[in-house]
Amino acid sequence: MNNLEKLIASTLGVRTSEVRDELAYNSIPEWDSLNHVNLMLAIERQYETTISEDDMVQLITVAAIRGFIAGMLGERP
Amino acid sequence: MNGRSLRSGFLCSRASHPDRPALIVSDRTLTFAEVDYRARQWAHGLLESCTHPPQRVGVFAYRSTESYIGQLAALYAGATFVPLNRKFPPARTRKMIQAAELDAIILDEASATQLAEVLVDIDKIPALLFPAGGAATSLTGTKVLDCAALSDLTPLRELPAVSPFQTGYLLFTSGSTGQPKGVPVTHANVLYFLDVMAQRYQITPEDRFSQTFDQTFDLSIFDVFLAWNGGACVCAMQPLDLIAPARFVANHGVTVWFSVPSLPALMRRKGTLVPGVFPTLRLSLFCGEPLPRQSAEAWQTAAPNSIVENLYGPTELTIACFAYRWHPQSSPQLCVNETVPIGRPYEGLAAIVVDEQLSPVPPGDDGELLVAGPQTVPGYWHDHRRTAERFVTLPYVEEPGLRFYRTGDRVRQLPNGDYAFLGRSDYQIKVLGYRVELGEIEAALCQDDAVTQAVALGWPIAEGTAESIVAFVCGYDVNTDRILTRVRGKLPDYMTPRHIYLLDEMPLNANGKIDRKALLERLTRMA
Repeated sequence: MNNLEKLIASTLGVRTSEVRDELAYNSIPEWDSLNHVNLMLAIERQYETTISEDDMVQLITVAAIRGFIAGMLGERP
Repeated sequence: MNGRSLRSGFLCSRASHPDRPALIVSDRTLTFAEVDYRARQWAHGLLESCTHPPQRVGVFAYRSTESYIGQLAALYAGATFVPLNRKFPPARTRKMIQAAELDAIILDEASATQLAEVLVDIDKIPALLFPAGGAATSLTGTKVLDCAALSDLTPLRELPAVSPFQTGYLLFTSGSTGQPKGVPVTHANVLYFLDVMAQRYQITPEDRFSQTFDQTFDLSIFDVFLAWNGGACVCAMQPLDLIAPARFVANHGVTVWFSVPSLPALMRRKGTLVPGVFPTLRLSLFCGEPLPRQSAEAWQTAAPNSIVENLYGPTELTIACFAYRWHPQSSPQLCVNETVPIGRPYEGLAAIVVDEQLSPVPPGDDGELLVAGPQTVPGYWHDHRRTAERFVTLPYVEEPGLRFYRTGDRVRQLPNGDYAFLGRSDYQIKVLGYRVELGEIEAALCQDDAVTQAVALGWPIAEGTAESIVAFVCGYDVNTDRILTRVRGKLPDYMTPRHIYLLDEMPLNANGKIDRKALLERLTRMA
C-alpha cells in the first residue's frame, strides 16, 4: 500500500507521513473538493477503475480508500 | 419601498404558506412556521441580552439551522447581520468582530468551540446566544443565553421597525492592504436586486433552491432570501454534497441551482456532468468567476429543462448586476477567450466603460466597467478614503451626482450590446470563486521578519480561474514552514499559499518593477 500513500500525498501536496488512516476530506486545507476530485481521478488512472458519485462521498478517508482498493484487488485492507 | 425590508418576503411566505418546507439542513426539514417561531424566540433573546436595541449581530455558524435562522433572527430584531465563518482562522474572525462592533453573536455548536480563541483581547465581548448548545459557562462580562434560556422565551410578536436605508447585512471581503474590507448593503439595495430576480425567474413555492455558497459570500443571499420571498425551500449543501452535486440535486428535487463555475468544471473533470443528469433543474445560474464556454454547453446538455445563465457582480453592487442567458445555437459565437459573456445590466442600472482617466471609451473598446444605480452600496465600512476612491461621480453623465462604483474589471461591449469580461486591472483574482486580493496575502507573508519581498500568484490557472495560491519570497534565513504556519493562522484556506518558493532575488521588468509574468512563466516551466 506504499503506492497508495505516495499517490495520496502527491495529489494532495502533503508529506507521506501525514497520510494516516484517519486523514479525511475537509480535515486539512489541502483536501478540499477540488483535490478530492483530483484524488479520485488519480485513483481511477492508477487502478484502472471508475468511481461514481455515490462512491466519491464514501471515499472520504484514507482508511475508506484503502478498503475500497483492497476490495477491488481482492486483498485484505 | 413602503417600509419593506429583507425580512418582509419571508414574513409574507410565512403568512401564506406556514406549513410548506422552508429549510432543509442535513436530514432535518423546517416549515416556514417553524423557522419563524425560532427566529422570533432568538430575536427576543437578542433584545433581552443587549443593553440597547442591537445594531449589528454576528452569525457565527456554518451550514446549520443556526446559520440560516440566525440571519432572520437578527433581521427580526431590527439589526444588521454579519456572517462569520468557523473555517476562517480565529484571528481573522476576531478582526471582523471588532471591526463590525458587534452587539451580539448567535453561534452553532461547532463554531462555539472556537469561541475562546476568537474572543482573546476583544475590547467589548458581545452578548452570546447558543440556540444549539455549546454555551461557554466560564465567560464573564457579557450576557450569555444558552439553548434552555432561549427556548423558554416567548416568540417576539411585534418586530422593531426597520428603514429601507438601514444596513441589512455587512460582509467582509479581501483587502489589498492586509485588512478585510467591510461592505454594508442596505435593505433598499438588496430588495431592488431581489425584486429584479423575482420578476426575471418567477419563483414559486414548488421551487427548491440549492444553497452552495458559504454564507460569508454574498451570493448566498440569493439562495436564502429569493427562495423565502417566493415561498420556496432552501436545501443547504454540506461539504460532502459539494463533491456529488448530481446526487444532491436528485435526492432533494432541486429546481434552482446557483454556484460558482468551478463546480461544473469539477464535474467535467470527473466526467460526471453527463447528458440528462439534472432533469429536475429549471434554472441554472453561475456567478463569481468567468464561466467557460465548455461548462455552459455541458451543463445545458446535462440540464435540458433548465435555463442557463451567467451572472456578474461585485459585492459593492449587491450580489449581481448583469446577466446573460445562454442560447445553445448563438452563444458559442459570442464567447470571448472561450468565456461566456456577462450580458447586460439589470433594468434601472447604468453601465459605462472608461479609460484610465475615467473618460468613456469608444463602443467596442476595452476599458474599466463602472456601474451606478439602486444596487450601489453606500460605501466601505468606516473607510472614507477607500470609499472616495472607488465610488465616483462623472461630470459628463446626464444625472448629476449619480454615484458609479469602479469595479476594477476590464470589459468590452460586443456589437450586439452584451458585455464580455476580459480580466482585472489590478491584483485581485478569484480562487474557486472567492475574491482574493493578492496584496493581502503578500502583506501576511511580509509579516515574517525574515521576508524582504513577497509575491503571491494564482496557480494553477484552469479556464480563466485560479485553483489555489503559490508564493515567491526573498529574504534572510527564511523558514517557509514557519511562514506557512503563521499565514494559516491569519488567512482563509483558499488564500493560504499551497507552496512558497524561495528566491535569491525577484525578477524585474524594464520598469524596475517585480515581473509577475516572469514568475508565472517559471511556474509553467516547473509544471
